[in-house]
Amino acid sequence: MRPFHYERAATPAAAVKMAGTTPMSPDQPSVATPVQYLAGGTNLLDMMKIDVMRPDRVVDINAIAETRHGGIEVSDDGMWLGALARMAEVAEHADVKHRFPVIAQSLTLAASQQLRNMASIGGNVLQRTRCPYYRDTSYAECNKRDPGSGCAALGGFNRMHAVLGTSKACIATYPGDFAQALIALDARVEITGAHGHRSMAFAELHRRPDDEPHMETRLAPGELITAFTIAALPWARRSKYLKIRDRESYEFALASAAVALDMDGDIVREARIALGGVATVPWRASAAEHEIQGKRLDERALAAAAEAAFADARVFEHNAFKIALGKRTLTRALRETAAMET
Amino acid sequence: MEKLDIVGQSKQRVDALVKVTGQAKYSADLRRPDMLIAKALFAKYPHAIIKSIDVSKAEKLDGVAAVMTAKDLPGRNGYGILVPDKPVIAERKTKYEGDPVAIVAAVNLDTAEKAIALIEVVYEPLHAYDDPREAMKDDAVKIHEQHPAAEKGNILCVLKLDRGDVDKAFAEADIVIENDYETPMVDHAYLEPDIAIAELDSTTGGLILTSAGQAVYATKRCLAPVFGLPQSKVRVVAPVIGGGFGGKEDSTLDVCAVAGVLALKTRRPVYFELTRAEVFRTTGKRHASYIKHRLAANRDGKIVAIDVQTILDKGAYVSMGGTKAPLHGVTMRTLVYAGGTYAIPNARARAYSVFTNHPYSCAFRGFGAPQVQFAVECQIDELAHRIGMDPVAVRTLNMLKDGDMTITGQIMKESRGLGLGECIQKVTQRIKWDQPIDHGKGPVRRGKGFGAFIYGTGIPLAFEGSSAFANLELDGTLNVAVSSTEMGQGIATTVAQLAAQTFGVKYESVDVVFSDTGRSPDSGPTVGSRSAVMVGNAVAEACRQLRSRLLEVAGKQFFQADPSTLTIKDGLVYVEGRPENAEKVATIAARAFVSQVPLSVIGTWFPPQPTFNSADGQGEPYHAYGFGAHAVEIEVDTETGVINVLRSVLACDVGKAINPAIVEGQMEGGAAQAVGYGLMEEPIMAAGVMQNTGFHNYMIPTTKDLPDLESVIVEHSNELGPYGAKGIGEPPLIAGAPAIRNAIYDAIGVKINIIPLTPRRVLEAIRQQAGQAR
Repeated sequence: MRPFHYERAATPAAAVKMAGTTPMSPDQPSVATPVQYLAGGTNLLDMMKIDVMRPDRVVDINAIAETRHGGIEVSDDGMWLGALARMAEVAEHADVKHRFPVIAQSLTLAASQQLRNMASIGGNVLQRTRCPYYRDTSYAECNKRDPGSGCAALGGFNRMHAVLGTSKACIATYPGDFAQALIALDARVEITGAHGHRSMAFAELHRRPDDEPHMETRLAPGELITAFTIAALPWARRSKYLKIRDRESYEFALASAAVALDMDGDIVREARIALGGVATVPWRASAAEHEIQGKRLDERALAAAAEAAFADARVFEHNAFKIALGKRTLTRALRETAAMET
Repeated sequence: MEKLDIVGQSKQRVDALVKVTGQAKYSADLRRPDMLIAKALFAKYPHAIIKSIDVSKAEKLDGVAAVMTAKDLPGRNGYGILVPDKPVIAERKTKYEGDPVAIVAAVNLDTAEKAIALIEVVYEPLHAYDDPREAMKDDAVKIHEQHPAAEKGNILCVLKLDRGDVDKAFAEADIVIENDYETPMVDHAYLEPDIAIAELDSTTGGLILTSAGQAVYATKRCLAPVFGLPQSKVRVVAPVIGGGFGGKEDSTLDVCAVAGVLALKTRRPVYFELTRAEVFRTTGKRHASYIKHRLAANRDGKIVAIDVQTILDKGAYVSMGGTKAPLHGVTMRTLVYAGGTYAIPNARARAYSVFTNHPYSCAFRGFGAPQVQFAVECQIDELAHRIGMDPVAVRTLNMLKDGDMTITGQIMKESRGLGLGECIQKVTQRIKWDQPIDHGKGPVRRGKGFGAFIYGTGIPLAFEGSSAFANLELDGTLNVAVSSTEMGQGIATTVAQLAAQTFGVKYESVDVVFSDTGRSPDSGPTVGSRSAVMVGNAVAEACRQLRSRLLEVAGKQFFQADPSTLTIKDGLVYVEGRPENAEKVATIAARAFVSQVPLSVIGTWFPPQPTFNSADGQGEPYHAYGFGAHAVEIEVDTETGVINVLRSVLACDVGKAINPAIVEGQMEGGAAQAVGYGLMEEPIMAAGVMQNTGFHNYMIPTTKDLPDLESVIVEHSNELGPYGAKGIGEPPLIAGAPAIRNAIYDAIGVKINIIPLTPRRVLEAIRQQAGQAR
């Protein structure tokens, strides 16, 4: 690991101010941002050890957890999650489990208990891809690390790679689980930066790779996620996260689906679907939602949803299985969500 | 029969407290004054000609104490337990990713890493071989331009076993089952990475190597020529070890060689630790295998012949793979176990060991047995399905019984322990084998599967045997020294129990010194499921001698009684039946000391000499065999391909469980490792480059992937083992993977003959079968 300067901030405003003292270009690859915020450190320290991230300065924001931004607030209107809340705290919160099950499940099925105890939910949505070619600096080709250098995964062992949202420049899979749950519940993300506060639909946060895979999110350098808000929508309670993987813990999804349904008897009034393990970003499957909205959730509708979700999928040498697996994962998640007692 | 009050008890491990309180020192906890840190520059290309190396920039870097290439070595540039074919530093060619091209010692890790990055190497890459079936072709590029043991091209050796008239038996048999099987290369995934500290021995002028290794004497013998030192000047010490599973028999040589030559060059202590990625890329793996298994049987289920061809991925160096001479190694074991645990009158087996550009294949729990017995146990199920017989009934019908002959021509004896029948019975009862299972109707189906195994205790080498040291202290405590290593398996505890029971002091009065060539005679390597038996017998022999010396003094000088009427128990000596008139062992020891009676003893034990004829694979390679049966109940998700193991019941015949908790620990560990072997563990290799070099993408099971692992101990006494014991270290791994594979067939009627049974492989097999059905 390379040497770096270490500082601490106790409020979001202080953190942003501290980070702002280093000039940062908006065009820089996000891994190369010279100032990084440290929360649980479960991803950042890892990335620094393997030399993919090399910040000059690390601003420790763990003290923010002592403020409102480390808390969970649930009311009749919905839920407000401080970005410094730990994954385990949110996953184990009784109201979250009961009223927003997809959120709790997505967190419980991620990582391992030790990691969930440390990792903040704000950091979680920003965790970096597990693409081995991105993580191993002995591969010169990686457009995410080094724009224009190429993509070693295209001709490499790409079993874990994405089939949706890929580009000629990058096929790395977005690795997380929680982000898909946020999309399924139309969450918004609150952001603080040098130019003040703003918020956006969470689904807008991540950027598809296209020809700039090094630009991973719409956060400007130095901006900090402070909270997530979720309205008490009718479909929040009938929601579920299904994750299929090579082993039962401490492993990323081969395919996953976050599903939320508002049912009128056996008719789908409203649907939200987000897919994981198969796409370059947390993937909202709008076409699939459209296929089942206003319809009875029978086998034909399920099949149509699955087809629609993967209609634009593009496979590579080792990951063709992800289409069939992704479809089955989605149909099972839909079926099980529809059958939930709420 | 002697009443046992220490042997057979689950005594608290001698190392339990220091480990749980964090006081135990592993190699990485150790520091030496003025210590340098070493790094190696490993090969950029797994198969390449080295055109030039320029180390001048690295040498000039501030803080660098030494940069060495092959031309700077003090002794022979080659080592290996069987054949010295692995270079300390590659000179002309690289043969796999783990060949060091240059090594560095510097004042700290940061400087060492910078120095490594400054070394400039020009390579001419060559085609790298991933598949031994490709590498063994006539037109393949020779990986070793000249190899001291290779038979032809990249074929290191072809070993043979011939018994009976195989062709006739196949011609006359009712049924022939023929299938191809593949098993993967697997990393040992030990928690503690490889580490060595080398320092000059101020007493002898030689070297002291401190390293997490499984064979301290073998390390000394292998590496003395590398250092240009006599064996007497090399001392090897292994502290407590964080897991080895066979891998640290070899990998310790790699790190000791590098640290040792740098210490000699710099005259300073040198510390060398591999990163996890380096452990994956550079250290040994299980031999991957490609097996064609033919089995002939009669309609009644009786097996009459086998014809087996095994091709092993040797990786880049011989390691523990074996050659024609010396024969010992994994290759030879694939012959011995080609028929599994069954009485088969006619057998032909051929084993090809072929060099590739993979990490050298080495010892790994089971040593060839898991590979071929995977094939055998699948074949038995195939036979059962073909003739409509219960798979367990086929096993019981064919299993080796008292007086039966193995395919190497060895006669099985109940006096050495033949507990397979009881293992099968206990496992089938517990898993309710005879009751039909509800296979389920939805996408998730259930099934049960079975596997059985045989595994020899010890190593089939002419020199198999052990020495151990016992010293009675004058306060009545007992010191025992063995060269075995304590890697979590519990040998120090087992040895302490055997010593206390045999000599007659309390368990707590025994202290065990282990794995230090400077403090113990040669007990042999800690491999081959041998230590409890071979080392245990040597310890027991030493304690018996000490005991009789002490009783002699007690009889003459204290009790005026025939020594044979005396006994020692809990540190007290008395006339049998009269404990009220006892003398302390300490009192008698003090008297013995002034009566010129030696209180230090070296005990030795050698089994009947192992034999194995290289011409036809016939002989008696082991004095005793362990047996076991393993049943699993599983769930197959036919939509996702995910397999969930719901139950695992394993019974092992261990002869005698000296410490039942330790035996159960071995059984649970083996059963867990079997789930990994069967379902998920697999290095992904691309032209010799390993693609998954961290625990985030090299999958091993977590506790959530395992059911409650049920273990049943079966004890069929081995007349030659200490208190009847047989080996238990490796066997529990062997039958789990085929049991899972057989359970998948039971659940969904799909046969998969390649492990690991990953979701992708399962889905692919389901899809193919559906395609064929259409």
